[in-house]
Amino acid sequence: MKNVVHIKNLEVVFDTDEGCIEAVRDITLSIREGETLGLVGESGCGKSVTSMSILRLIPCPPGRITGGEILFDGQDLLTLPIPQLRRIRGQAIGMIFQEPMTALSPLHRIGSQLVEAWQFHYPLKRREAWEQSLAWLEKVGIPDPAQQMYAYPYQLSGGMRQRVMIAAAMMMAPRLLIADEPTTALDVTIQAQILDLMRAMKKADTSVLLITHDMGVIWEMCERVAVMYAGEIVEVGDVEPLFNTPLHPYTEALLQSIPSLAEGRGRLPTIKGQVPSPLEYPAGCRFSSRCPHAFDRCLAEHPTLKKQGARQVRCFLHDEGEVAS
Amino acid sequence: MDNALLSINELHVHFGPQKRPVRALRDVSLAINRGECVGLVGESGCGKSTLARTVLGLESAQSGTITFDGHTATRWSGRNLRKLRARIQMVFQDPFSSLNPRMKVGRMLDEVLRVHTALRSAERKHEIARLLQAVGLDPAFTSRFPHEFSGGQRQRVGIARALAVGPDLIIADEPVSALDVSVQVQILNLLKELQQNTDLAWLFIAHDLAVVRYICSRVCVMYMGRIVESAPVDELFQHPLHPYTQALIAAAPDIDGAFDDRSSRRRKAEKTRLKGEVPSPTDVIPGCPFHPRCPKAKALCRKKEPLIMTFDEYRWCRCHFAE
Repeated sequence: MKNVVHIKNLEVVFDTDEGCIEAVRDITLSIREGETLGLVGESGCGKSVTSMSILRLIPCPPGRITGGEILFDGQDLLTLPIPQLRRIRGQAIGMIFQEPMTALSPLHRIGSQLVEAWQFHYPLKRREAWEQSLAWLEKVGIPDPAQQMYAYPYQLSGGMRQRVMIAAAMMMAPRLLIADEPTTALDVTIQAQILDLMRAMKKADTSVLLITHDMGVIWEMCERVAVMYAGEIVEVGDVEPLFNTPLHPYTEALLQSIPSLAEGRGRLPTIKGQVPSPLEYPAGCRFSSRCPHAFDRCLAEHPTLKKQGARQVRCFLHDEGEVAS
Repeated sequence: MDNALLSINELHVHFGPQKRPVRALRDVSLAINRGECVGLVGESGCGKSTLARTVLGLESAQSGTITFDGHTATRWSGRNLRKLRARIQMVFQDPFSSLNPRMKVGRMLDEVLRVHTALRSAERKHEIARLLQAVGLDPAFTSRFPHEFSGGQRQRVGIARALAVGPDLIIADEPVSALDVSVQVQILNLLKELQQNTDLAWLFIAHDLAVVRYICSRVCVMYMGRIVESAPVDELFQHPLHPYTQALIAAAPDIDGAFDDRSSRRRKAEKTRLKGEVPSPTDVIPGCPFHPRCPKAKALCRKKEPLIMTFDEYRWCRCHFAE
């Protein structure tokens, strides 16, 4: 299948008072055309840094992209001049953020924010851009859209603001939509509405990169998933096989530790300890201190992401395959 | 229900101007027995936290009664209120803002013991070590400041602080929603252990249904200031009666169908999707407050507010068409 974006050996660091912190390393990941790819992991694992790197939205300083490339249409987004990158931002690659209140300008009406996006990317007259925007507000299910075009973001509820964000991202028919925790700030019933809307708005050839900490959302939305731990990808695969037979001990432990709606009340197993701080990552595998299967090699050597059939795993228990690229 | 530890009867709490008040709680009745963990679920703004604050005497009720261990506790103040607080404790959602950043953990716990118990200094030291151990922390942590702990450890400190006074009831307001999945389970298992080893009663407020299912024995579902359904936990998840409960369960993303066909499950869930959003609490909605979003609403629902339909002592529902 064709890849829309191919991330190769991405490495991002942050300069802090305590030293140079490695936020992500050796991120190799491709997003295929038309698929919804989930990126899952706990806070601080580097999900957002990875996704922000694609459009070079990492605040610099303190962040620096120190290695790797991100290929989109054959060009490396990491070396692309800013004016060209701005043509891609919001058009070929759209983005939805977790908190729509901070992503929308609080000082401008909804309508003029949408119109601005249209006029930046296309030579449209204001009236045409206005009509297009209005049509999109209606499409994403905003009641009374003609009036809401004049509303300020604070006048809308969280769910409605996220609908506006989806309209803004999808109206340019992007080839890739990056959604960074799009429903985390919302209530369950509104989350369900927004996820339904995202599914409905997605065209067959649009790819989606969905960043979330919620395995349930991954299960409902994605075809493939990449699991991150301590700044690295530890496992990539199709959702069903990965959920049913996880290969990496972290994926397995994470899936087991989620309380379920359907089942009884047996005690859930826990992962002992906590995620190590980026300043004190162990020399070997970063999960080794918490892993129930760790052996000598895990403490001494650092595993690489290797192919296991259709899956990719970073673990010495599954170390026979080729290095993933 | 007469020997319940906490019993709330027809509680109404209003905020704001008399003319157009926010009806935060309307006709809320709830009982918690010793050793029981009752879950309170609902979406933001439905009144969960207001209920908790009213029980603690932080909000005053318009009408209705709260009885704690046989004493009416609705309008306590001064010394009585302080005594009450030694018996009802709270664990907060945010383990970052609920601990004093300038106080070492040892001093924080010592203060609680000094105010509420008659223990001497040496005994308090001993007790603090015991408390820290009970919540799975190293007793040597007494000389640390909150910022030296991770989120999960801070939440353990918060729990130790609540346990310090030897309460009868702990109100936990979203105690795990700020934590990561792997840390969340650690805290949930700690709460479970505490439940098994003591006869503490818990009021567990959460929006995550799976967490409630894991930890509670009974659940109340709230919508717009009312409890719309109450049921033992297994019954609630297997046979939800209220359309709101049904929609809430269907809307929660769950990985448990992991071996089922995903797309058919998704279609089934989409059928029970709620339309629209929760109305503003100042809106006056005739009839059932849920009818504008209810997929099963009929003419009766628009006219008449449903009364409580009781099936069993702990099994009831506010819907005209529940069966």
